[in-house]
Amino acid sequence: MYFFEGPGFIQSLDSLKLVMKNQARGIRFGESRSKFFGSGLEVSHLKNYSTGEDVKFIDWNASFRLNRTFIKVFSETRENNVYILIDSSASMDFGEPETKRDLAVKLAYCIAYLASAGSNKIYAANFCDSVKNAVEITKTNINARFKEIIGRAASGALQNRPTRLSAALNSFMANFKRRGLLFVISDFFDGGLSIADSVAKLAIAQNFCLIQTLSGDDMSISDTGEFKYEDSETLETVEISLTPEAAAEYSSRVSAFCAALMAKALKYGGSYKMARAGGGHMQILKEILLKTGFSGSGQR
Amino acid sequence: MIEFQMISNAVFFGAVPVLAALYMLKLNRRNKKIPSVYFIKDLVSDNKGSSLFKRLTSNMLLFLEILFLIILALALMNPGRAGQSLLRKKMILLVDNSITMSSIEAGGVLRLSQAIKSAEAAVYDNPNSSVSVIEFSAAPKLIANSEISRSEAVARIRTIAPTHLTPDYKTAVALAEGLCGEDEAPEIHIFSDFCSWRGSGAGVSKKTSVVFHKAGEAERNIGVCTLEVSQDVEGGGSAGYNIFFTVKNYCDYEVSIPASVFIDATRVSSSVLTIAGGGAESKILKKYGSMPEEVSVEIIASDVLDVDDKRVWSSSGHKNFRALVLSGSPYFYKAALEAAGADTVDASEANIPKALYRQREYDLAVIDDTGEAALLDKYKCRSFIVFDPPEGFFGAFSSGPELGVTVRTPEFPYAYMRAVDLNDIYIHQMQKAALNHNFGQIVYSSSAAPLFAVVNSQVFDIFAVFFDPRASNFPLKISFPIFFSNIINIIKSKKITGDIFFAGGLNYFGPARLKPAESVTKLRFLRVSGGPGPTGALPSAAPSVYLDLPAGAAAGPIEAPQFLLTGLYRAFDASAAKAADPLFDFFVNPPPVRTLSVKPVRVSFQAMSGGKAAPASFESSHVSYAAPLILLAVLILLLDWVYQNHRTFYKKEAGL
Repeated sequence: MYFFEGPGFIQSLDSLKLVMKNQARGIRFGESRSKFFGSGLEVSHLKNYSTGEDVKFIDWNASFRLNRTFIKVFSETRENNVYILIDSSASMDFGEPETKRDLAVKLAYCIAYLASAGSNKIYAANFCDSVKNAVEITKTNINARFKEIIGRAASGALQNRPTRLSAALNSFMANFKRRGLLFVISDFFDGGLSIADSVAKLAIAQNFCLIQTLSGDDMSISDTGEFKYEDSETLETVEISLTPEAAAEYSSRVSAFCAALMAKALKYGGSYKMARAGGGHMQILKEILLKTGFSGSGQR
Repeated sequence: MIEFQMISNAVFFGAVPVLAALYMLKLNRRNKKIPSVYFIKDLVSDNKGSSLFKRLTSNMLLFLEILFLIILALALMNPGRAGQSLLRKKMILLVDNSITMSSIEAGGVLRLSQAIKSAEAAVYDNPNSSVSVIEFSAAPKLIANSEISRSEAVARIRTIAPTHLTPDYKTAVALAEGLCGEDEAPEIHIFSDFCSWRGSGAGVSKKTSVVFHKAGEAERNIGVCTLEVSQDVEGGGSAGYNIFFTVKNYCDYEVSIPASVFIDATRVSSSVLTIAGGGAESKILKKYGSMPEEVSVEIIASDVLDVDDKRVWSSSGHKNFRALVLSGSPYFYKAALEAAGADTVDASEANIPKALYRQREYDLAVIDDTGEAALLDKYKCRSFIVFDPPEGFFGAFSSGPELGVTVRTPEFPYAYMRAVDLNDIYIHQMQKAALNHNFGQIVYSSSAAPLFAVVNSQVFDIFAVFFDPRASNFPLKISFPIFFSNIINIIKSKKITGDIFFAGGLNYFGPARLKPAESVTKLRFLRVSGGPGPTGALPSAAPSVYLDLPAGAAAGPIEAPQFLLTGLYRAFDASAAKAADPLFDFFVNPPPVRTLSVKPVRVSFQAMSGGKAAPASFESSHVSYAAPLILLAVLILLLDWVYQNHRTFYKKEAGL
């Protein structure tokens, strides 16, 4: 049984709503504000009345106050593009009792579910070193699509392929040129930790939110002694004598990396949220939706 | 200062890296798969600089074991300091003051000073032992016996001055061993540069403990070996003088040294001599028209043994060679002397008192007078040729008449008989003399009658002829003037003039030299330059030499005190209350002929230990740190064991 088939999971999402402040670039009518003017519900601004225009759009209050005739201009609401990229590399298999991958898929499902409620165009994809098998998600096929995504990740088709965020984002931007809102859910532990450099490039094309899923072991090392560590993705080994000082140094370095990632994301108009595996997805989701929020200022 | 006695045990330090390597090999690392090793790698590379230390501190067991091994290895090397021995030993210190000990080491310290310092330290380090001190070069000399106090022994060690002689280890060791009784086991300490050491040839007995104290580097020896000035006689006439000197290089390596020749204070030649190593020599010959007053050869040997850097030859101070003939028939002697190169020849005359001739200064006196031959000490001359000496002349006596004497061996290998052909000499009649040890270089006839001899006197240089020339055909031979010529040349070029001084030998002040000191009763001689040391002054004590003069004018040559070092000496009036001006200067030369065996020898401890050598005696003055170090090592081992089992201990404690 998949997590979304569990009792109360869908119901718990009904109390949430994904509000996207960015200007939609979709073609079809939707719920998101767009930069287009026309038949919408929301007044964008007023303009001087010109002869022949529909009088029902005259703003009478403003016209009387200023002794000139003004006509309301409405902004159109259109569908928004939502992209969800889920890291499927081997490093996501860590974390107890909930793995980072489980958390990532849950968050992706939740975001997709909330986005589909607002008649948006939603694409979800696994990625390691490139984005492949992107699927379009609608209200009706969301469960089936996520079964595919989970199955693909579990099948090992993407296993043993290291995370290459930079390459993956390049491949994503080549395939999805329409601007939208991009969620990247990953631990961002790629070989060269190149995400920080890719953020600037990403910000030009998309509004983005980086969701970093980390397990407790990622954040800190509780053991000390002689260790031979093997990288889950590259299989590279490193021998180290771990002292408490070295463990503390490790934690501080990981924290510094997360802080640098957040700073980079905020600098380029994106948002960042750290999600700890086992910490409960709902709380994280609320924080993503409410606290962090999405700013429309990312439009360029 | 810490010294290590068993430095060979340092090999145990090799166990430290082996242990560490084994530990690392054995190290059971836990394998763990993690999402990314990026941060770990970063950590490892960051900590690489101090990783070993961190590893050691995190592995207390390894740290303790390495510490244990290091301390154990250190303890096995037997570290310690030279301390005072409490043993009661009989120590005999042999301090070498031979020529090579006059070398200046790289730091400007006299090699002998180093040896003296070591000897002093040996005395202080053994407060309960009795100390005898022997200084030795050519001959050993006991300067402090075991009866005297230690401070006195040290004071006497400090008085040891360098000499210009070659060392004789064998005699010195023999004297040292002779100082001990049968049942005594002395400890002989030799302080030397061991330049001439020839291992067991030094006669160290197997019973004796010998401790070797090497002083200096002993790799620098070069010097002027000989300087001769001789008349160049060609076909009976004089063709000037030959100045001939030899420079010998005892270094292992080839040297190039500038050499200058000064004649009568004028530089006549400067050249650079390149001499191969290992005792090779270079000879220089210069010709000079007239008889020089003073010849000196100087080599500039900045980094080599500079004891022999200068050698001076000087004539008697006047160019004329003055001879006296005292005979009833002096004229054929006079003719022969004049032909042989004497400038002025005085012949005695019947109506002039002989005492008058005794008051005059001569370089050579030819005595053919039975009465005067017994009064040689009355003459102001130190070289004589005595013809037909009387009975009792230096202990010789007559053993009866001999008739028809001839010589079977024509040539004799003596300098004074050079080129003298006695092939057809015939002596009608002579008294056969029986000679004693006062005579040397004797020329015998075919019937074993002594014909010519040299008297071995400390005061005189006497050439004796034991027959009357008038009873032979000797004056008719060409050999007759050649015989005189040889003797004159010897007198001119050697020390017989009484004014050339040689280090380590017997020297005499001629009357001319002592003339400025006629009213002086005591002379003090101070060496002012020419020896080792940057300024020529000796770093070590160079005591003044004193000489008591007989009252009144000196009647003849006066034996000078022994000068052990070459260089310029200055004579002062020691009887004057205040410091007076110097009376005269003179130069003391190196010995005329010397077999200076100073080829540097690299001596290792094993090669030197001829006898029951050092370790036992070394131990006695070595305050060892080995015991406390071993204790510390054991403590660390215990700590290691406790650390290894501390949990068990803890549990046991808790159970109780």
